[in-house]
Amino acid sequence: MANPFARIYRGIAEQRAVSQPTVLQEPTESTESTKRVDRNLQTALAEMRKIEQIYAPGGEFLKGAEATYEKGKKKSLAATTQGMVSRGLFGTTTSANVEKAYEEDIGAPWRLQIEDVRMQRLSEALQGKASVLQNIATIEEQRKSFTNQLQMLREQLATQRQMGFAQIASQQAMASQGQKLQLAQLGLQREELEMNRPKIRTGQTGTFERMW
Amino acid sequence: MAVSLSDKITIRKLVACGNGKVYYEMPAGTMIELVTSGYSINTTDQLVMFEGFQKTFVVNGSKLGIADFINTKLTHDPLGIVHAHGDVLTQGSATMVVDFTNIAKTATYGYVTSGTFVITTQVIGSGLGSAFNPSAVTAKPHWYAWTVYPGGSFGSMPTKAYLGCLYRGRVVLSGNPNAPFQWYMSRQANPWDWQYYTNDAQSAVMGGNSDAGELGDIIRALIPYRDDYLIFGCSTSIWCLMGDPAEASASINEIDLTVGMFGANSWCFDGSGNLYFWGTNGIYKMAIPGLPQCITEVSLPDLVNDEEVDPTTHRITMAFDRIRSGILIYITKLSDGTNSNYFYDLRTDGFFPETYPNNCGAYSTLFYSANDSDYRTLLVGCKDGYIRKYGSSVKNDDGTLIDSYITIGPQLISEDIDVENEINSLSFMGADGSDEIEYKLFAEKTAEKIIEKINAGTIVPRAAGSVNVFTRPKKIRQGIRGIFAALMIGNSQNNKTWAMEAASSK
Repeated sequence: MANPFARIYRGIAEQRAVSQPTVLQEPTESTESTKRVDRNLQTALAEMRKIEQIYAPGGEFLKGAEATYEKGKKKSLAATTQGMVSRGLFGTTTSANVEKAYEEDIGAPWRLQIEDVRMQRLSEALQGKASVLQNIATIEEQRKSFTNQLQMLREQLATQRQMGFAQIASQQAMASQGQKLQLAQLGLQREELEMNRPKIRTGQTGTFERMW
Repeated sequence: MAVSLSDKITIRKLVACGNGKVYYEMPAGTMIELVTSGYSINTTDQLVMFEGFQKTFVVNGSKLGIADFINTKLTHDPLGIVHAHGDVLTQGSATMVVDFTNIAKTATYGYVTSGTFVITTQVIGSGLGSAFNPSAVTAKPHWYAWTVYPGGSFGSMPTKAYLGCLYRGRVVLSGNPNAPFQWYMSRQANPWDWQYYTNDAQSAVMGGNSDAGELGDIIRALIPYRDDYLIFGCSTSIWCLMGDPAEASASINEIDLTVGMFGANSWCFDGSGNLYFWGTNGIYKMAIPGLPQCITEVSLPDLVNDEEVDPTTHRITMAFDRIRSGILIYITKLSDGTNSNYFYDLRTDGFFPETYPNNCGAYSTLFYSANDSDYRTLLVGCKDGYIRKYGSSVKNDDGTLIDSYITIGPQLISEDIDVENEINSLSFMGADGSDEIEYKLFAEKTAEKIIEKINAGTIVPRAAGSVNVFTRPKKIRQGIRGIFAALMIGNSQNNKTWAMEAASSK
């Protein structure tokens, strides 16, 4: 005959096997994930900083653009000066004014334009960085929330476990009492059998099935 | 309907400098002095004048002055901030457009557009200039130093200049002894602004005329032709600026790298726009743009050496006499007024040498397009300080007799150059109004000998005399013999003049 208590205890054991390890292992997995997320965020931030530096004043973007501008300016001034020489105006202040004229007529608008582009790109980079920082803040908030939830869950589990143990103890107590009752009943039955049994050889003893 | 007609005329005034003073014409035919105290000119030094913006600009070495015939002068205490060129000043209903403020900021010159300015009433400007109460209001004309506009970035003018002209609304200076190859142009329409490198199409410009990398030739004459060309007559070359130097379309090109010009006034234009100038090898004619052609190459091949002119001691001035349709070339020794001049007759392409009394030696010339027709003629500024004109009715040069003659020939009078021939008679047909005609007939075996002896004054005429040819042609029987002959006719007596229609010989 199957022991009905065995089922109860097995149920608790199964409950342990299913719920308890999952909850307990979660912090470990969360830490790894956090580190991974942190690494990704740091990488993203570093990339953003690089982009920011490229578009910052004196950054690579301006250096590259300036180099291109200077190259174009040199070619243009050379062509203009050649034209001045051809037209005999090389020895005039008009010729000496060519570079200033280029700076005012072409350089200044170009600088405004390139500054506009630079500021736009820098703005985009800063916006991206801000977005990442905002994501980090959100993740931190989520992480805190998750940790809180986890803590609450842990507390709940602990409570549940306490309750479970208490229930088991109660059940164990009940089972003990039942056992005692059964033993008492068995004793009575034994006595009854002893009284009613054909005599058997002394020394022959019965056995009980082990409960656990 | 009644029609009312009233002439609107532009008034021209003659402005002249002499004996260290500036004079202007008021009224027609009378020159009165413009007070130049405080900033006197020096007429013993080279001096060039040109007109523009109703002003006369005087370029006299370190003395750069302006005779202003358009503005009203407001005198006041020194201004904290001067009124900008072009600002409008208002005093009640009176308004004035500011033209210039002196360096001391104590005088503002402007063109009154309405009303009358008075003293002690506050004047306010349309710009940032300080308000002021005029202590004096002075009517035109004015004389003041030509400087840059005070109170701003208006550059600097050359410290010395001996050449000047107006071109495309820019005043042009050159002849700076420290940089004789350089020319300077003010901002267009603003003779007070000499700020170069301002990068606009009206900016003041400074430059020279040369191939790239060279310094450039010494500029001796500035010759504007309309608003299209500015000719730079240099010591040994001629250059031409086409257009405005601050515009991309302008160019400076060499016209001739072998012919130079003599001086600031040794050029003129005829009525057809041809430029005539005294150049390296004589007198040249040039269309603009074009190449110079020497017009004395054949008739006066050694003119430059004969005249022995030197820019440091002589002045050559040239002028177009539109009344007599000719070019006058005056060569005057500055120290004593001795002169040797030519009249180039555009109708005959002939050169007629002329010499005037030393006091009448020409320092300057101008064909004066005066409002008054009595003075609309070629004027000559003379060594003695007088301005003279040519008169067709007077028979002496300001009291000095006129020795006038022409030489016809030498001509071959035989059929072969080795066979002599005879002239037996001369006939003259005088012009109406002519006094008697003096004649001299020369004959020799070579033409060159006749010319040499005539020039040397050593030849004795084979025949000479005078004839009155008032009514009909006169025949004179005088025989001479030779291969070549020349006829000199004229008149050397005081208060006598002559003219002749024709002469013939047999």
